[in-house]
Amino acid sequence: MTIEPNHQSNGDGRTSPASDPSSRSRTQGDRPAAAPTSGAAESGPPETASSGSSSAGSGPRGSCATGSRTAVSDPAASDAADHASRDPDTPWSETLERGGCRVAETTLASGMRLIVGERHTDPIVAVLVFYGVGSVHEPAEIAGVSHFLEHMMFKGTKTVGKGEVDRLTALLGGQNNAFTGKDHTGYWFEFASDRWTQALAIEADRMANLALDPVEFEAEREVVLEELAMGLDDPWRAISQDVETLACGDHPYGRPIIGTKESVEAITREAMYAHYRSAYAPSNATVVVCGDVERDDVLAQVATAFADAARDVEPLPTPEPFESALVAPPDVTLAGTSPAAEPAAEPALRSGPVAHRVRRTWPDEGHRLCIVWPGARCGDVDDFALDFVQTILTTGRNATMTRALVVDGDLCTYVSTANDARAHGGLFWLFAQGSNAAGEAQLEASIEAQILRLAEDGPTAAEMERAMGILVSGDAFESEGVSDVAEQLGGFALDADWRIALDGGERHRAITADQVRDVCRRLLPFSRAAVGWSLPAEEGASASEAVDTAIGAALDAGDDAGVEAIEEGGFDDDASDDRESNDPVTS
Amino acid sequence: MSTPDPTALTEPRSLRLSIPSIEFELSCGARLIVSPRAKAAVTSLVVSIEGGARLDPIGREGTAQLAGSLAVEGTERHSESELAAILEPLGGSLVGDASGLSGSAAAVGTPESPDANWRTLLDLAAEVLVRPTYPIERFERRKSIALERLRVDEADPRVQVGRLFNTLVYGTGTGGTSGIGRPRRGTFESVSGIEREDLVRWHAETWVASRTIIGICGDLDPEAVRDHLESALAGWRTGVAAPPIDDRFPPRTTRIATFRAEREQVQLLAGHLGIRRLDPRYAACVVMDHVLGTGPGFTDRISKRLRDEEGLAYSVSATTAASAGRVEGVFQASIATSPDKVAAALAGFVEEMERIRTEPVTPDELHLVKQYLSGSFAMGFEKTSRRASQVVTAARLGLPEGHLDQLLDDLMAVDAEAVLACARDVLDPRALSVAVAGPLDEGTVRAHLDAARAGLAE
Repeated sequence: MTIEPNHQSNGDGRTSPASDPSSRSRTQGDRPAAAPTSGAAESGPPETASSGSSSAGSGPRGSCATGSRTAVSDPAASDAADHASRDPDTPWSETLERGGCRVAETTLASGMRLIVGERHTDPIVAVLVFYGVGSVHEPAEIAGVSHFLEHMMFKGTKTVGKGEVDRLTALLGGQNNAFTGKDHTGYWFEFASDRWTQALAIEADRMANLALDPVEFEAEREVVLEELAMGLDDPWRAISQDVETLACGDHPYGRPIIGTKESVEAITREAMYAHYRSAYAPSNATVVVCGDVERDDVLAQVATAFADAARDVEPLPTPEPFESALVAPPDVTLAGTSPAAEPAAEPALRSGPVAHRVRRTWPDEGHRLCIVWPGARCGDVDDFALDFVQTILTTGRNATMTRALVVDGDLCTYVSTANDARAHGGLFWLFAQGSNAAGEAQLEASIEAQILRLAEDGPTAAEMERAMGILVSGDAFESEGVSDVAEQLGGFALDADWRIALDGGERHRAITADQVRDVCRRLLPFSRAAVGWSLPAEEGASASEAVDTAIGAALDAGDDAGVEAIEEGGFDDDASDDRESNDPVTS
Repeated sequence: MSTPDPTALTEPRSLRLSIPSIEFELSCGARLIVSPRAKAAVTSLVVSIEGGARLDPIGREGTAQLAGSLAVEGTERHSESELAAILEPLGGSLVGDASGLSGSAAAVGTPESPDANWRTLLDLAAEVLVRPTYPIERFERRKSIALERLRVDEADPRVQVGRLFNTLVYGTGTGGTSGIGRPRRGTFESVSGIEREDLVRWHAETWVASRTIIGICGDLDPEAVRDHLESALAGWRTGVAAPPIDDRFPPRTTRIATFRAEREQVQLLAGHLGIRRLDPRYAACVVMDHVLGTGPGFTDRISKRLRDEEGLAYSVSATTAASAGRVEGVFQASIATSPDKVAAALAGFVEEMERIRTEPVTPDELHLVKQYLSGSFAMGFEKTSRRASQVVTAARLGLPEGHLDQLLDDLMAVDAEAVLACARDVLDPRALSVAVAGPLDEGTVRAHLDAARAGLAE
């Protein structure tokens, strides 16, 4: 997953894009991790998930991944450790703490998992319900059904009518939202601590009683198609989808979460209902409650709210293991082993042409570069090592690639990377906006030179120390809000292990410079990358096929250049400073 | 199984928001507001400097933004890389822009010096405020980046629609109108003409203590912060007050501007001048917004109709209060939709504006909005950055102590008559200006707008 803290400056101090692949609703979806956005959204965090319905407020912050994570990749091993540490006199697991939030987990008889974080700083409670279903579980012909279903979850049940979720939330003075990702779907509420239990009632109701009214179904399809059209107008989304498709081949990870126009139009009510019935059950749900609560009370409330919800469901088909279409999978780092102790075979670092290339044109002057490599599975050691790679390369002005290409160089105006670890295997992304002065080959070569330096020499002690400081301090920013903590707990719980959200510093401190070097060698050669360019119309049409040759030449010449961050947003961000009230009711 | 129980929700309970703060006047003339928050994991800093982009010279739009953003790229004591090297391991950042500075750092000190991080943050912020050096190589690089981005923006409908709309409502800064409608980041042409000396001069003239409000929130001792800044800002020039805001705006009438771009969707902004934050109708305006077009959720009329019922858009909203500041904000309805749905969208905006101007909001609508506003009032203020920003903005606006409590009381006192009166005064579908970017021409937009307003009574 991603690591770049939301608050971190990239280059010129602009907030770095967060890079969670599963992000909140109400914002346009389906953009890969850390992709910058164009225009109005350019100053905001990228959203990978798409979603639709929502309610008051902005929802939990996008990143469920900025926290630390651990090398727990073997579910059986994880369960064993959990049971071994559990007190037989309590239903709760061991208690871990982060940011003043004491967290423990239990499992109800129905199979529903419950994670509770107690923090009494503010009288606020976040309630998130995650289902272990996302776009990775969908048949290709109805791609987007998970996301479309998420919209419909706000459209009424057999008990309450359309719009009632929003109305009840508002009457309670709360906020809600939802998000769909590759691996999971989440629903979020934030309430004052004297009324949070109503979130459970709403969730229990729509878990079992979704109406899927035919009229509402068709109306919402139009909304989803407009959302899809909005994405089609985003050049970054377009090029990143291109390279993701190249990298993932036929694997469902390569499909857009929102689906395609054809697949969305092909979704029937019957297909959606079948999807709903197979996925929305206690045994496939994880409830996360964080804030001003007592965990035993939460357990009692959850048990009561969902008492009648248990039912037998056919388990969702397990997605095919992710094997990138670009190359054979790299040597996998297994749980409990160290790639430093068992070094992988030396890969060719500069091994000729990249695996795949794609180009598209866009009617503006932007030279947008998107590169993706098959990365790490969430929770693997490689996942944490790639966090370091991302931080060393592009987090902050003194990140090596940002410094060389943006701050001091003249090759591009923006660069970012994102470690997009997923439940079944991840991707590592790079986004850069080339400057007019730079050729495509020169920019690619400069990027590769930065990665090669890490792969050959490894990071310096100072680089490791700097990255460690950023990663650890990032925890402070990511735990300010109870919704942030809850979203991270749930996201990690679904993709790997909830504990990853809590013991971040320790997980990262265990990573060595040799491991960082090793992961660059194994995972990040260009020969296993997909490279996409989005170019101005006239240039894209005549783009050179000789880019790889030129890259080699530039590398030989020791070329080095840089990129700088995007700084401003769109129409909302370009007005006078004299027009703001910043009141609680308007911000 | 539980089901939602509306009867359990009838007891209103407001979450009063307490943002404690202590204000000092520093010897240099700057105002300092410290908002202590025990056990906060992050220290956040906001520095507001009066003036900003509204003072950009005509033809040099972007000067304030460039001067602010470049200020963090080198001081008399530290190069920009040294500044970054100090801040980044703290999770820290300092960002400059047209309005001043903002920054943050994780509140993780050492056992020997538990408050080292906020002191470091303030030291560096003080350097940037008082002694930036604007190195020529940094200037050239940043200007180059700004120009490349502006070139890309020139074709971006989402950027251009906002610029068009601001110009329609506020004017261009010429012809007897204020400069508030001009783009803060400037244009390719205006930024091309900015030189390093312009920024040095800008800093010397405008980044002065008497124009500055510093807000900081964290686990802090206010007196210790004051003492630290007294030392760090010693010798900062007091300067003179900024010129008053020029609030000469074009008359409120229909104007249309389009930016042609072949895209899937049309970006549309429709609206006109709104109100100031200190306007006595502000509370009624907030309630009106929530009934009309800002939620919560999709409970407002415009979202319910245009999105939920007609499926016109994924993203649609309308608001007035959000931009109410020291000068008039805007009433702004926005939508991104397919070209063939623009007529329906404009009709929806116009009809809902007219409805709320002519019919009282229902008791249910009023109840829901008040419940929401009172219950959610304190949310979002877990973060120190939000608190620091709030105290600074309140100071800029001249809001009195206890204004948050007063606002909540005012909101709860709003009735249907007040909303109706506010809507009649503030909203005017006959004076809508419309900015459109996408695959539509001006004639089509005008025809759609005329059709939408055809049924309005004279």
